[in-house]
Amino acid sequence: MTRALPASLLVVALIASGVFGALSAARGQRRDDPPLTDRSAGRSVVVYPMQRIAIRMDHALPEHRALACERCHAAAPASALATDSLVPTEASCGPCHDAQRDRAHPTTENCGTCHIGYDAEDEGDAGARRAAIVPSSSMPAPHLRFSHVAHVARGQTCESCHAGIATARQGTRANLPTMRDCFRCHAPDGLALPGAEIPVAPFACSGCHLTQPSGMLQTHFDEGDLSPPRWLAGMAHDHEWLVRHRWIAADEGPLCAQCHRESECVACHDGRVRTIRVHPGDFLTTHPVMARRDETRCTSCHAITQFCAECHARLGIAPLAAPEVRAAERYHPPEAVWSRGANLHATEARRSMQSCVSCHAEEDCVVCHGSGSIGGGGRSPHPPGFAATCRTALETNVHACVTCHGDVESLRARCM
Amino acid sequence: MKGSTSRRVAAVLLAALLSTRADARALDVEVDASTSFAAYEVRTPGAGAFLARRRLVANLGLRLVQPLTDPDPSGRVIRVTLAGRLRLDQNFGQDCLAPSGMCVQATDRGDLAAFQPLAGDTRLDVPMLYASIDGLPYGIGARIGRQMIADAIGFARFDGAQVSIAPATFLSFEADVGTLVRRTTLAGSSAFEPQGTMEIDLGGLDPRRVPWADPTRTTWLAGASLRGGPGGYLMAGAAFRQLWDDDGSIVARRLGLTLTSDIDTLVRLDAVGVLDLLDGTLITGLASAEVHDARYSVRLSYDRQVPRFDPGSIWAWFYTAPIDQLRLSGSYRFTSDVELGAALRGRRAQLGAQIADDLDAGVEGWLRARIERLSVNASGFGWSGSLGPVAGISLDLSRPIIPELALEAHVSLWHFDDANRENSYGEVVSESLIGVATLTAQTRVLVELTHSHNRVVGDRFRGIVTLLVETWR
Repeated sequence: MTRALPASLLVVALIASGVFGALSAARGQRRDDPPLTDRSAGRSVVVYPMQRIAIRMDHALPEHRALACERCHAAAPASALATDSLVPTEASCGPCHDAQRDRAHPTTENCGTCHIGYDAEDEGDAGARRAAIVPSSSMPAPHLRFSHVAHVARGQTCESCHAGIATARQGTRANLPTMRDCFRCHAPDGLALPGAEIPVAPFACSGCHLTQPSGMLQTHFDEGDLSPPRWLAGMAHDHEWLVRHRWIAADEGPLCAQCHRESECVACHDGRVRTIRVHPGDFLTTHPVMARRDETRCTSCHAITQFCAECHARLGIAPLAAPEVRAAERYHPPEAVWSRGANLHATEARRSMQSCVSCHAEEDCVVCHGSGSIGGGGRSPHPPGFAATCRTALETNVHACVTCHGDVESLRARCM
Repeated sequence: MKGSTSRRVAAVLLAALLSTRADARALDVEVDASTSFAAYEVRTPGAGAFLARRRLVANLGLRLVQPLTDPDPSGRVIRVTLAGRLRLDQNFGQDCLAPSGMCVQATDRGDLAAFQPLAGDTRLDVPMLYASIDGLPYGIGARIGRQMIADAIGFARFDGAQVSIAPATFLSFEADVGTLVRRTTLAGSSAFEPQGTMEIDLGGLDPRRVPWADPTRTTWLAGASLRGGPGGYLMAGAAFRQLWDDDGSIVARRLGLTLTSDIDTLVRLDAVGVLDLLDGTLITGLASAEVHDARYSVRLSYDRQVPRFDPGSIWAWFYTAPIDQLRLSGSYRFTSDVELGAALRGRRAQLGAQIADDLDAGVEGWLRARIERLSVNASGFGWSGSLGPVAGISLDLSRPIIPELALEAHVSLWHFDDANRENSYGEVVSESLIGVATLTAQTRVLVELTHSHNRVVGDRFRGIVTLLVETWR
């Protein structure tokens, strides 16, 4: 038995190394392509997919800084869609750089000045001479809605959103506006940030984000899943989110609903098939330990008297199991310490009544805790001083009183 | 009367839907469906049961959306929506008593010695079915049908109506009324029912066979919530909900209060409280303060929970220990690809007079990293104190192999010790391999294989295959 543990771990290690190591060479980039721009530009790769920039364009160069932005980005001021390509064409470089363009005699010095990675003397892996390839750029459109023309009409300048571009050696994703930048002027209801520079113009999430027909945000993209930034309403979907989301959803339900359907809540909270993400490890074995410790989390998904009791009955470990299935072996410690002597069951019941209810029906407890008038043991489970408040109990819901006391009228006489 | 009102409202919504010129704005359709087949094993050391179970769960969600206007400058659209969801939960497999080798059909009503009234092979339920309109002036919206509430008080699912209004960016109001969905409701499920009652549709079964079963009843729900504030730096909300049975017995009467503040761009405060108005007990209390910037986050939180039951069950009248937890956590992001975090937790359960409080403490740590296209999540935790030791470590790896296929591996090792059962302790090792294949932009398949081993029940295996389809037009 003890050998099984390392053996199974070894199997996993071998499989994992096969999967994650041997296949690591899959889909490498083209040898001539410039690298993807830095992931850590502080911009979401889901909103702004990674770029491959093959043109060297030093915005900070005094000659470039002297030019108006629209001199090269001519289409930008009139652009109404985020999908418009606003990258300058080669023609816009022409007036100044025509002298350096000599297609008949391309050299690394000439062409490589602007085309990053261009090497006229490049040789292939096999050593065979091949034609030098001009590296290509890849500038995927952002997964956003954005109208340059609307912003220009409201007096916004290029640097209002593209901060730092004037001094950037290379314009990259790092010069695209973050969501927080947008929040300087726009914010969905109740989410205005402190210190907004100008009066906030309220804006629905769908004003910027792509949506489905129902108005819900589109969150699944090839680059990954959209998730909220850390600063937005405490919604960072971080390591602690599984515990913490309950606090946020309590108050920010409408904001959650921007991205999540009710069915997504139900998939976990009324789920039928448990994936490893929901209950890690061998939860079937360890769940009693966790249930005693964190029981209210169990009940956020499970109806104890239905879900838990059904399985415990089916397995025969619950007293309400059918006779043939009921376990002969005692689940709890010996009677002498469990319900007499140290009376451990009272401690356990206070500690985790929900664990009790996951196996026991009311009648199991009424045997001892029911009043003598119905043949019970008369051991009151009520806290001290309960008699003084039992009138409220009777007025609220009499069903439980009847279960243990039978004659409610005599109770009324005592409590009223 | 209730039925005719519902029909009238449905007719009005349908008329609104159909009166919209088809050439103006097309009807949009969203479909999301999932079908999962799971094969798993359950073993119990004490009862000698071995269950090789199979389960097929199919969900079909359909949402028809008719925009009635073009988006206004803020992106808002008046929409009529008809949304529904069906779920089939089919269980297979036999229940076997390992020592005797006898297998019994738990759902066979004819076999009184083995029949389990709570067990069921087939369940068909409708988690959601409603028509709604939203985007009206002043943020007015309405919804009628089977729906769910999720607010400070918690979840509730009901058949009824909801109206909402948000006349200003700083104010919103919502009201709900209907009947609670229970396991015994038509096409209902037990999720989000008050805890403690065992309602079963006896279906002709002699009630003396199941003396523990509660009679079927209708539970009404009414509630309202209000939320507002001057801005993100201060928002407050209140929610009230009452549940009562048709004989007038109160099932729950609760008040939820929330307060949130992004008091500064670096500080976030949250507070949630739920009062049980039947006895004035604070049954849920959450308070959290977080300081964060792009690199670090430090959070101190306090959490109080008092388990509650349906007051119609005897469990509601026993003493249940309030549980307080204090947690201090922090994380640091070294780069956008590497984050390290840790947390300290303390727990106290007040077990009442003459019994010492439970005191436990725990520590957690985690690491999230991305190496090229490989994502690594490593985490560990350890608890000790009155409830005995429990600890675990886990390692999760995921990596896209090709755009159409991603693989994940999970390994965990836990130590557990069940104080209630002398022989229930040991180490559990569990390994999973998961493949997620994207067949088309709308279709994914997930395959998960898990093996677990521990001293108590030996080896167990489980496999899940899930087909997910999500599309819209």
